[in-house]
Order: sequence, then C-alpha cells, then structure tokens
Amino acid sequence: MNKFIILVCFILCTGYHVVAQKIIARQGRVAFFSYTPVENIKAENNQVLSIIDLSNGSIAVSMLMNAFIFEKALMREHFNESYVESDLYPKATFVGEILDFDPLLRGEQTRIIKGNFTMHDVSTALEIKTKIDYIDSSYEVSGSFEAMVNDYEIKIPPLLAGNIAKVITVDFRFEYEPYQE
Amino acid sequence: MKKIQKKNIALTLLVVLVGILFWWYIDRPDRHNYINDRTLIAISVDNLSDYFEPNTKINTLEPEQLVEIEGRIKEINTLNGRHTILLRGRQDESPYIICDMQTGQEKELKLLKENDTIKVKGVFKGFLKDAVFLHCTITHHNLHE
Repeated sequence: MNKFIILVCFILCTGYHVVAQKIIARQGRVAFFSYTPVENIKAENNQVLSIIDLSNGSIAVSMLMNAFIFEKALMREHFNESYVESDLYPKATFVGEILDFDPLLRGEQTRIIKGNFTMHDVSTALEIKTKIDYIDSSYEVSGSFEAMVNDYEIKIPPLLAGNIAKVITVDFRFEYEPYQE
Repeated sequence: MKKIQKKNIALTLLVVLVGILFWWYIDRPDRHNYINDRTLIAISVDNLSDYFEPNTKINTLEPEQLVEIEGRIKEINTLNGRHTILLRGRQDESPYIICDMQTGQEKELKLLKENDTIKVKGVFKGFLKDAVFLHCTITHHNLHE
C-alpha cells in the first residue's frame, strides 16, 4: 500500500513538474515559398520567437518581418517596402492552442494547432497540422500551411502580379528549451 | 556615313552598358559586408542592459541601424544551418543579443568559446524577447584577456 502511495505521488510530482513549465524557442525558423512560371521566390527567418505553455497547450509565435533573408536584394526591398510594409507593421504573430496536446507523450505526435495569425495588421483564423517531437526532454514543432496573399491585404502592382504566387507556402520548425521567466 | 556608324556603335554600347547595370541591380545578391561601414552606435558589455532591457534605451535604436556590440558569448550554435552567436551582458540573463553571422567567418568562429568577450558589428532588426541582429561580423575577439 505504501509503495502504491509513493508511486502515485511520484507520478503526480513528475507530471506536475513537466506540465507546469513553459518552453521557449528563440531561433525558430519560418520560411516561405512563392512558385510562379516567371520566378521562384523563397525567404527564411531564423530568429522567430515561440513560447508554449505545457500546462494548457497554448502557443504564441512572434517574428520580425524585416528579418527575412532573401536570395536577391531587390526581393527583400519589395517585400519590406511595398508588400508587408515592415516599417508600419514590424511583427507578425500567431496566438493559438495545440488541440489534444499531451506534453508527457514521448516521441512523435501529430496535432492540430488552432489560432489567429496576424500579419500586415490583418488577422486570420488558421488550423495547422503539426508534427510534435518530444525527445530527450526537448520539444520540436514543425509543419507547413498555405497563406493567400489577398487575405492579408497585400497589394501587388499589376506589373509584378505574374512574379508572385497567389498562394504562398509557409514552412516552420521550432526547437524548444525550458523557459524561466 | 562613318559618323552615323560611330554614332550607332556608341548608342549600342550605351544600351548594352545600361542593360548590364540594370541586370546587376535586379540580380544583385542580398549580401553586404558591413565590416568597413561606419558604425552608428557602439554598445559595450557594461551598458548592454541599458539598451536591451524592456522600456529602456531600446526605444532609441531604429531597425536597420548598424550597431557594434560588445558582449560575452553565452552560446554559439548552428541551428537552421546558420552560425549564430548569443551574447549576454555581465549577468547571464535574458534579454540576450542574437547575432546571425555573415557567412565566410567559419575560421574565426572556431576560435571562439563560451564566456569570451567579443565585439560584433551587425544590423539591428528589432526586439522580440531578445534583440535580433543580422549580417553580423566579428570585429574584436578576447577583448579583456
């Protein structure tokens, strides 16, 4: 009986310890791709911040729009100055929840993240299929989704309309570590 | 007749030259070596926290400013296939300085280790939980040894 009580206490204590903490990714990666017959454009941001509260599965992501790295300087200039207007809207954010997330489940789990993505001062509701790996006490979250350029009130001049896809593919990958506030 | 021919050749050369310049402008890679550019702001390890604690001098830094920062190395990593140095002030606490290193500095990076004091020059991009700098280049290593 005593052994059973000790075992229950141990499980509760370790479980509480894991779910009570927050985890942080300071160098998350978000990349986007635009494929058109005229040209392919890709860019990546490797300093994306994300915090997950393991106790309730809430997730927050924040990124600086001017920190995207492009192949060509002109692509970056157009992106920042004409499309996302990063001086006016410097950050894009995502706030949501990982549905049915079990932070104690080791290995891989596929979950839906539901939340609001805000970019260019426009918010849209998203549901993203996400792979979550919990290996050696660290979590890795990765996935991709598609974003419609029109949804974010990004105006593309008719002359360049053929160069930029209407639907942009966005990939993300975050490696988390324990976070102490 | 000869005059017209010369004029045509000159005009063709001019068009070709303008075309080359235009193509160079369109196709130029998004890379720049900032090492010799004039630093607008220099921040030392002692006043690092003055700039990067929330609600302090951080507000005085503008995105895209070229800044030289002195700090202690908290971590060097190659996450996402890129060399990144995380700098800290005298205390090992957030906020940190995230420096995404310019390529071509692999030799210098191999010589660095945790707790070394270095100076890097980079373009300030903004502040999330930490300050983010891109295109960073090492300007001084082991300043206080």
